[in-house]
Amino acid sequence: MMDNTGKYERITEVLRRSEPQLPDPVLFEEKVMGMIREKKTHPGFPVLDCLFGWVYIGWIRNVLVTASFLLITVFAFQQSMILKRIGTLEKQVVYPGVLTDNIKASLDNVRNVLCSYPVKGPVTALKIPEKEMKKIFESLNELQSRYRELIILINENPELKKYIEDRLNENERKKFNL
Amino acid sequence: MILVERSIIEECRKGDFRNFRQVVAAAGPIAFSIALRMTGDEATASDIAQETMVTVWEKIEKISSPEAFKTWLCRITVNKCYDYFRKNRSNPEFNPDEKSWRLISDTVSGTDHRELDNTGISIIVRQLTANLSPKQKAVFVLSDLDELTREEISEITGMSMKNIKASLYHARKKIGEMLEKYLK
Repeated sequence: MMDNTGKYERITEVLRRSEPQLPDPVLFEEKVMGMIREKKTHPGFPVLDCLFGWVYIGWIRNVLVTASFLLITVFAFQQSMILKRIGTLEKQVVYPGVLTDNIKASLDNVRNVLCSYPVKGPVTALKIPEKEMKKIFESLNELQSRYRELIILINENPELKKYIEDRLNENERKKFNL
Repeated sequence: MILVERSIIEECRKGDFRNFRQVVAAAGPIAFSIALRMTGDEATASDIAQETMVTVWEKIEKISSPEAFKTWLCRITVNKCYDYFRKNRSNPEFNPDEKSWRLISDTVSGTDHRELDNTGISIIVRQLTANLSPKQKAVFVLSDLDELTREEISEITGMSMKNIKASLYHARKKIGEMLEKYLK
């Protein structure tokens, strides 16, 4: 009676000696060439094969492919929406947020008026650089202070005040009654 | 050993497949042999060999050198067998078949040196390797049946020497247990 090693050696020796033979080499060759021709005419989707080649059950593979397409579509749609919104925001007026404190404090009301003033024309025309805004506010400030000085000057001089009032009345009279 | 003429492989690598039939004629039987010894089913082995040859046609341009062709072919075949085992994971439980074990018993105890046909090989391989994992099957076939070196097996399977040694040890042990259980 043989021991296990002996049996193992004997069986592997027989298997080694018995080389498997292709049943019909010519038919085999033809089948392979046919498959290659088929691959040539219908190359398929190499990317999908690469991504989902590990799934062997047909319907699961189809579900995965469909789900991935849906996810990609939703993702692309969301991205396009986000980009569109960013584009719209970029086109809107950007008010300077770093005005110097003293200008900012004194011109809050003026700025509010400017900001809320309805503007006609294309939105892109509303882009005002911070530097220009500062200049506008400075000149407005100067104008206001000169106006105040002028009022004081007029009030201090009665003759000048009377002259100006006469001139204003005269101008009023010249207006037509419509 | 050069399986296919170097010039033919070079031609195929350059995209000229006029002589690809010669590659199929030379490489097909090797792929079939490995597949049959691993799967123990003639029809499956034939399918795997065909798929292997198509993959060879598709990827022969990527082969590093004509000398590496045989190792590369074996690697593709073994991987195709792994794919087959993965697809058919839900194999029915192993049922020892009396007829099959009688054949194995006759083969072991017989004194004649007849070679087995594909059916005989399939029956014996199926019974002996029923409890082996795909990797153990690959190592058993390549090492004990095809008599490849550990380096070649490592190149084909991508396993380390240590893993090959361990897999071979377990494969031999499991086959030994089967032989002990079913053979007097």
